[in-house]
Amino acid sequence: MTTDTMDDYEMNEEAKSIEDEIHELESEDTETVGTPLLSPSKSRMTCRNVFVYYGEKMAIDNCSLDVGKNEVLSMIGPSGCGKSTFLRCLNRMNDTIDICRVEGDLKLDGQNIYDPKLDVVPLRARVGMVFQKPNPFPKSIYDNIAYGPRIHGMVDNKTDTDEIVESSLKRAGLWEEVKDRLDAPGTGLSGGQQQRLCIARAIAVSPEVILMDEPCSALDPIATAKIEELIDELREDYTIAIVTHSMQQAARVSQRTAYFHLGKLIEVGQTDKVFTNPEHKLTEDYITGRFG
Amino acid sequence: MSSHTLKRYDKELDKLKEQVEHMGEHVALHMGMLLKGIEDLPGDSKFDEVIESDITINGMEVKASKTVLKLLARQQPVGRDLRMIIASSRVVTELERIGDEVVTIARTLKESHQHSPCTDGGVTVSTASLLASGINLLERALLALHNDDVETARDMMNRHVAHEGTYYQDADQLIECIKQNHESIEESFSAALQANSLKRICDHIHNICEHTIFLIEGEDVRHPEIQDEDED
Repeated sequence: MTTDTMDDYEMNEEAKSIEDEIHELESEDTETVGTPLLSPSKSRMTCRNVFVYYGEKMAIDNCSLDVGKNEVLSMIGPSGCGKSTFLRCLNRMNDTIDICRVEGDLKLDGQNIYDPKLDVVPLRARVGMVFQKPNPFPKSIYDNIAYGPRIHGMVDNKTDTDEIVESSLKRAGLWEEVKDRLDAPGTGLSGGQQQRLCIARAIAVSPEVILMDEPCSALDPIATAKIEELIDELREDYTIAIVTHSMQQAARVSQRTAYFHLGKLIEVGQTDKVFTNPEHKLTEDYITGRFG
Repeated sequence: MSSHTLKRYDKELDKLKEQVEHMGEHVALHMGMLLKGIEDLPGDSKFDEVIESDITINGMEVKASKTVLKLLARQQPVGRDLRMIIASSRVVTELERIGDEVVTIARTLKESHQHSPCTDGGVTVSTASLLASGINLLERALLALHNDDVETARDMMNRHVAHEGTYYQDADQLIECIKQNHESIEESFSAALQANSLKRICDHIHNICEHTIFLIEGEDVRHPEIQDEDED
């Protein structure tokens, strides 16, 4: 499996849901309330005046948002609000969709990630992604983790590979459950284990940012709790941006929350504040279940 | 008790428990400071200290309330966790009010601690001994809360009825004394305020015991005369 096919493989299911994000936007301008921007010392990714189009249809309308270092940023909003589209902009996952066009200034540690000269393969190692449906490669548990470090040239011998496989699985809280069956197929694990395997796979290539698109929506409450605990632990070393339909999950795991509505970024703030005293009426209505 | 998968949830619940217990200890110290002031009479310095330290208790209530709000909004607690958070919220309110009553007593003592037939020991309210008893009751109530000790909480609620009798007896004696000693009405009024505050302190301690029972058994024992009607 080549790097390109790996990306294709991961995006195969995701691309099918893109149409959900296409919609007609309201014409009037809406200014984001709260604190979407961070100081340069605190931000890992900066996004300014981002517009995304699917053909003629606008899916993201002038969003500016920073993702902070060692923080979990949750993105919430009703279906079709653009939160997944925005997330996919952060590691150029939208590039593979022919009709998709991204405009704006998006940087990772000050580097323009939409620079035409930039190779997206190392970018997607630096900004890893975990999808809604666990998608382990049809390989062994070991090879699922080892694959990324090998193709990115991070390892050239078995000892180093073993070390990365073990440390990644430990970091993802999966080592104890699989250490005696590393040769077993990854697809044979439970849904929750598969998702933690995918997180371990993302960690294995030493990312700076991990993007998660509804990582728990296919999991039961216990597996969900384990992933949420893992997210909380991973924050110490990584920046995490998570899209979730579950406001409760956003409240539990994130430090900052961004609320999207019809392609616009309505409000961003500390999660405590957004869930106890949001500034914008649309946010208040959404989190209190008055629409959406 | 087993822990949550989400460890931060446990940390936040532990934090709330610590905040409540720390506030309880502080309120007991606050009462002890007032007692020391009474024992050292005449002299206002301890009363001033008591009045000033109330701001610390108020600050503790605000902090604990923030933790409660955060837990409710972010963790969507249920079951025992929900009862613990609700009970904690109620307990800090009781503690803050005990702090206010202690300040009321300190103010009345500071403004009027003249000797009078109605406020000298023996005949009427013995603020010091009732306060000492209140400190003991509060410490026991907080220990019952800490230990999930529902038996002690229930026992203290029953004893509270007996304590109430003492206060009413004191009040009756005070009224009789005032009738006979019109010249000392100001001092007597202060004594009446103190007696009322002492009674309120015991009411709040009684309420803490009720919240402890709610936390442990899920039973709301605050108003047994009210029928529990399901409005769904």
